[in-house]
Amino acid sequence: MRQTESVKQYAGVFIVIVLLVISATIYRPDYFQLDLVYMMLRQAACLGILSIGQMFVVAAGGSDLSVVASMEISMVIMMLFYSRLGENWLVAGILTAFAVCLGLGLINGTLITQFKVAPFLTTMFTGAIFTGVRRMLTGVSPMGSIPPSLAYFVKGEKAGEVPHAAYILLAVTVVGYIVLNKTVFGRKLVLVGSNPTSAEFSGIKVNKIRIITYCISAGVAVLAAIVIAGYTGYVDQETLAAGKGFDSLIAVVLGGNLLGGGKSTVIGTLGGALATTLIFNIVVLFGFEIQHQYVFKGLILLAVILFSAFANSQSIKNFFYQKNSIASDQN
Amino acid sequence: MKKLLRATLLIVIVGMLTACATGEVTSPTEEEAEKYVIGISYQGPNNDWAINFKAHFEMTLQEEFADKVEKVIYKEYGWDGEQQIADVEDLMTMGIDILIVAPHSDTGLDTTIESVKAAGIPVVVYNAAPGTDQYDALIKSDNVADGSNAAEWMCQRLNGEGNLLIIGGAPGGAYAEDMIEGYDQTLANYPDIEVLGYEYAYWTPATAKQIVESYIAKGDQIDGIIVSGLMGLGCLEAFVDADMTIPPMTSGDGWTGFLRKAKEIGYTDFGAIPTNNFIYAVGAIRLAFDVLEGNPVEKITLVPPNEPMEAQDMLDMLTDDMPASYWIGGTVPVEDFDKYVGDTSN
Repeated sequence: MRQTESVKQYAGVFIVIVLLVISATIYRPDYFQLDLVYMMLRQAACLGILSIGQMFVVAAGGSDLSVVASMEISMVIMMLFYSRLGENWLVAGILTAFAVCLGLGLINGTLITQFKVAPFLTTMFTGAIFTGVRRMLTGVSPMGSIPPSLAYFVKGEKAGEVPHAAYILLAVTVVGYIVLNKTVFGRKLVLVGSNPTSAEFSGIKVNKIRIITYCISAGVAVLAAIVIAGYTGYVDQETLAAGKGFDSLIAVVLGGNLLGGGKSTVIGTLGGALATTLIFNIVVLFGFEIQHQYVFKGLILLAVILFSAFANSQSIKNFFYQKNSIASDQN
Repeated sequence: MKKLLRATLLIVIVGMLTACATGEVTSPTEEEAEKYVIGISYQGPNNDWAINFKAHFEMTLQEEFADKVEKVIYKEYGWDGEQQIADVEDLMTMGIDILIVAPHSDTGLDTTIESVKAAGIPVVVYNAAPGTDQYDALIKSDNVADGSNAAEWMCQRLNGEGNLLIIGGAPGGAYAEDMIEGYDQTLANYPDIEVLGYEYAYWTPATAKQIVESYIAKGDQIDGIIVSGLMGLGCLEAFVDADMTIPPMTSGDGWTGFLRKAKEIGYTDFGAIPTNNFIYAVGAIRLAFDVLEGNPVEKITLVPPNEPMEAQDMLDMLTDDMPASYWIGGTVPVEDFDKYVGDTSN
């Protein structure tokens, strides 16, 4: 089956990653030790997982800002099972969280496809509703320390080993890549995103595909919640996932995916999450003050997006050819 | 079927929006004494610290002033200063008799506070001073002194030399910036102490952990961390995951989340200064009713810092029945905490 992804899509983000690594190595030759790589993978895992789920929604032409609410709800459900019933019920709590979040994804997908409302706004508002319902049910109290088994699942046994979160991220990446590039669903998804009218005429159930993407996003959010809870060791339902919704969209765009749907790349999305994490650490390495950090991060992110746009304009030659042909027309 | 589904979804959404239409309202009941509508603008229950504020508000309102409260309207602004302006303007239209407010930033709410006063509504400010003096009473801890005390503990602990990492809350936030001012005042007296960096973790353990991990990766020797609140847990976790000795930290302000982890791993090298913040939560409510009833009040009340205690003593105060959000240093009894907040069982 022909690949959906192309190297051109995600070249930009990985070129920037390489440049950042080179810069850091020049600045501090002993910076990139194995422990650092493990640490960054641990940091990037939650965002990477969440972003890959988000990528499926973006591929279909949508966006999902309710992922934070899904993460928060799933954390609450897991911790309620743990605190009320014991650690043996944690798996049941996780499965319940998956079921609930799939339902949330179904609500999002149905609203967007049936009422034809803008995904960005819809998921922002449903996220607020889901958050409100969660607060009503829990009294907004943070849920406390995570069970040891969850910590082990995410972090592993000890320092100096590949964190389990990295394996989880790898597994999600592989599954996501296969689904997007090797399945009929993936091909349909890209067509739905790039030309929904054509897709409809081709007999593809466009609305069904879109609804499925929101279910994927919400379901993946559960896994992201598990990873971030394991990373922190504590579940504060209000702040643990703060900002992750927009961060996941940023990672998707950085990775070379097109907002509005169509061309998508799991590898690029992973690269976007890794780049975001690397930038966070690089600004500390270079000793930037907080105000300079914002400027530096913004410049790097802008550079990646511009490069991706440049690379996505089919080829360098065509890029210049288009400019020249416009000039000829004007003459 | 599709029409039924659409109609059902619409009804659910409208119903939920209606239920959420106003800020949270609690309505204690009593009879016939003059009753007031209290408007409270605060950050919202988005972390344990803020939840304890709410618990103290509710405890004071219900235990001391139940017969004088018609209703209490809470507005939550999160970390969004613009949202707070909108919230306060909203409260003005809801018939409040007094506004109790913690400004998000030094001056961002000034014009709005002045509008509230111009509308004839008294204002009690807590937690941080606004730029304007158009309020009836202000109660806060001396955040600069609190920061200075914490830094002094650290500098003494390090015998006046070493590398410090400073982690604050939200950049530009009045409370966080006051604390940093306090740190700097003390650090000026210790020229052999070098500050590796000033970072902001938005009061979240995950971000604090990420920051500390970045500094560990950078390879600088971290001899101490000045940090407070929930962020201390993130710092602990970073060193535990890196299998490194945990340096001294100033994070013993009483949060049970940090203390439980410290107890679990046997960590006692932290400055234990119980927070005094919740004292002024209670004070803000009392001041509000003094203002409403025309009693003379001090324009500015500064709550002094608590005295440091031994870390082990603070750990010994930790009990298994303390809820996950509980803060040692507050005055809400453990057995009543859930009543004022909701179930925080862990």
